[in-house]
Amino acid sequence: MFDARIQFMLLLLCGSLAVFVTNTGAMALAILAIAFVLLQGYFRLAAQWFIFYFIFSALLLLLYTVDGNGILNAALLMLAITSKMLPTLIFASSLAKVPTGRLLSSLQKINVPKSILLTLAVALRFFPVLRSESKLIQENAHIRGISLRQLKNWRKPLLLFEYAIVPLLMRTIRLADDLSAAASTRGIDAPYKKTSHHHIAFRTYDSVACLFFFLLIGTLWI
Amino acid sequence: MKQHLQAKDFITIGLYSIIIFIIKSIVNAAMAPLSIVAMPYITGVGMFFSSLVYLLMAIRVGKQGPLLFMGIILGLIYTMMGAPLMLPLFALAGLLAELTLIIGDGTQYRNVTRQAIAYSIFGAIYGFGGVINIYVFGKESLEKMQFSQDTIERMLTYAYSPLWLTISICFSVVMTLIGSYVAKKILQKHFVKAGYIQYQ
Amino acid sequence: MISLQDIAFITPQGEQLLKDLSLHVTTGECVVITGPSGSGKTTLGRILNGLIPHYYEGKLVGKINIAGHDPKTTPLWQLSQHIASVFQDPKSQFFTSITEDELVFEMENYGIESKQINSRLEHILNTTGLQVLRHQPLDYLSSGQKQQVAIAATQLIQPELFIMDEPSANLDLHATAELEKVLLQLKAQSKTMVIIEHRLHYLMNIADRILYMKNGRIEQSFTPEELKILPNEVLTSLGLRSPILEHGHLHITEYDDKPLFAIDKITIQYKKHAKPILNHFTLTLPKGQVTALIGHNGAGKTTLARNLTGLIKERSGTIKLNAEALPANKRMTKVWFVMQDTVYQLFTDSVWHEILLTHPEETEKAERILQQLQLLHLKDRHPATLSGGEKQRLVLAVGLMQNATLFILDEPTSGLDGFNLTRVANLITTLAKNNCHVLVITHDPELVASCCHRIVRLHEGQIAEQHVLEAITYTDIIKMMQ
Repeated sequence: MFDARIQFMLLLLCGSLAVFVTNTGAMALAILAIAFVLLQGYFRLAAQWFIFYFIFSALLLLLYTVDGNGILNAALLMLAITSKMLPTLIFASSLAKVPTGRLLSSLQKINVPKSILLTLAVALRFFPVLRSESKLIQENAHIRGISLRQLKNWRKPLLLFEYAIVPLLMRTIRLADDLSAAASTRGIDAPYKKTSHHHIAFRTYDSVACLFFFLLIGTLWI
Repeated sequence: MKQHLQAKDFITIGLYSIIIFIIKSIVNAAMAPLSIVAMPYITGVGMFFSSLVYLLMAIRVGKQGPLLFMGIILGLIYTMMGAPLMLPLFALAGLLAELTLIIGDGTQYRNVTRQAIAYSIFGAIYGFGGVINIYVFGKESLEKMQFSQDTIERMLTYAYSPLWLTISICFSVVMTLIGSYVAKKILQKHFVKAGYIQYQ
Repeated sequence: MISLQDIAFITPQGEQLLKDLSLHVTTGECVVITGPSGSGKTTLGRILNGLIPHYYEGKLVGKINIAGHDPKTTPLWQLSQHIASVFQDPKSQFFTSITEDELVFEMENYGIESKQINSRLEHILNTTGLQVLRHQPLDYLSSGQKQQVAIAATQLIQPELFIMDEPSANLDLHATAELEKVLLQLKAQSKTMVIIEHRLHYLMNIADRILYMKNGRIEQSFTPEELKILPNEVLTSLGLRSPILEHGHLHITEYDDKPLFAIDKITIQYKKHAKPILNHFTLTLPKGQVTALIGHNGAGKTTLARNLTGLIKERSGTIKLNAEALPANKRMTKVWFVMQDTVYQLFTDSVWHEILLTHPEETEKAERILQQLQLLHLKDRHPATLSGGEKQRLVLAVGLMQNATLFILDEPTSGLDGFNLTRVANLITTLAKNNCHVLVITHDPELVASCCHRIVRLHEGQIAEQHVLEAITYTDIIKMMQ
């Protein structure tokens, strides 16, 4: 696993480069991205991306040669756009493998403000919780006959929306209160610079990752 | 009442931002497959449904800053999902929206109308996101299609022309305002009645 | 260590929660604070850990000194370096995703040096046996393990004082025994502890004093010995739970034996799992009876409940109501599940609207049910403003409106005092008398003893044992629940 800071920077770089590169350049970016995943030992992920990208490019190439009608060209547009976005997606999938705690510590090292890290930490940690709770609410709504799945409720869409969201918001109000109270008693407002038990430092291994900076920029000339 | 955002506020913003993200994702997933021409309206519909959540958050916090932080968080989430260009865009959206709230003696942060306007500005700029992706990455193909005789291709270029972009922005703004109007009723019915929020 | 003199606290709404309160705790002492709901215990706890006045607003008067600091003038983060706070529900306390990260969270906030953090972390992981759970996502831990992590996390900054608010509320008997061990360890390290609790039995070997609060005042003080010899009537009049685990009496009521629900060989297995969660599970639920369903986490209690309500489909087997087979989708209105946290089940803006949600025309019936459950006077109140017990009754009322005949209650007495325990027991008995069956998922032996007719222990998806309460003793129940 490469240093999370470098990964984050590469992700931003790739996203920016995708705007300027040609279609062939995008292909080079994608290959570099897959190589990046592979070099970290994520063989399965790299294989999955490789197969996907192969089929994807084949499809793209096919559509290019077939000079077809509007629908095909519209599909071509969508595929062309996606092909420019894919390399960044691949880098993102690599970053997603970094555990949350380590990621946040890494971002802190590059001086992302404490407030943003706090908000982000909460968002990341509670995303699955809120998602499963809204599912739970919908189950209970289903039992009461007011769920999204029951088509007759769509006759009164605003009321349906109200039933779906109000319990979740009530729950969130309480969650925010409980969490903030607990966090206050655990020093979240302390004015110190937050330390970390993760050891975030560059290793020789990461110099390989740094190489990618140059390789990525190089795709501008393809 | 402390004027700067505290840990409690950041936690609130983090939690509500996720809910807004989930709502917008659901709207996206529901509307995107419908037709490419539906694309300009996706933001507006998302704004309509998320105004309730935003207003609740804004009034609970009652200070300057939630929009900016929400924009940054949403931008970071999109970055980690592979669309880093959204970060500067959403941060800008948050910043400009916050600017509309600067005028006032402090009570404007709990005023539904002012917050609705701020959120609609946020939405107007946020909406550029989808279009930017398509326009920036599909420039070549779109330009080729401009001269085509085929109806579908012409529809596409219309869909991404400056005209439609303007229509999309206006739609987003209007939908946010209507959504906020509906939201105010729900806020009154539940959250004011239960004592969770008070207007100033 | 703690010195409170003539404390009073008034909320911004004008309610006086504490009056003429004085409390002195010496270093190394363990003081337990108990009393009926609404007596001001939580408010006192919040003053002790600084949440009042820093987090909760209100007027606080009196002289306060905690660990050498005055909470009114010392910032909360500074107080927290000496005071550890443990709450009821770890789920809404956890900030991070993994055990290890959660343990070091507070140390990182205070800017403690990385090396120190790691050495203290290793130490606590080894002394508490949490080493195996080190990299586990917190959401996968059991309630007992979560509370263990929460308490361990507070120990890492090496505070002198521990303030705990109902730490055993969500724990079963086994986990509570583990909690007792941890508290004994803290006592051995001369830590000062103030524990707010309803369940007193596990604290009898740890507490030096037990203070009884009522109406915002500390009314009485007991030593553990004094508390243990209090006769039952006094305990009940004070609204307290029994201080001795094994002391409790069975309250046997009559019941009908006509079968209502027949669960026959139900097997539930998820596609990805190798083993079924419930395997050929068979149970008869007679009319008018109350069955206690007990078992460890993961034994299948919640799965059974969800299957009975029709949310999960069974792979094989049948469920019959009055000899008529009911498939999953038809069970939804007949089986009513009352969750531990009712926030997921209430949708409207008033009690009246809530009960009439699905049957808006049946106003007479609604009024009758609300009257029966003592909710009629709360008709126009928003459900979010009701107390925990009132919300519970409201959800039950909705079930009665739906003409449900099987009620499943999930931990209805978690965190309740003696008075409310009796109230819930009476409520359950009344429900059963309405020709329903009530299935209670619980780890509270006092509840089982006061209103259940039968006890069923679930283990790994099957019935490990079942007994009719008439045939066993209270001690047997305790043994079954450990």
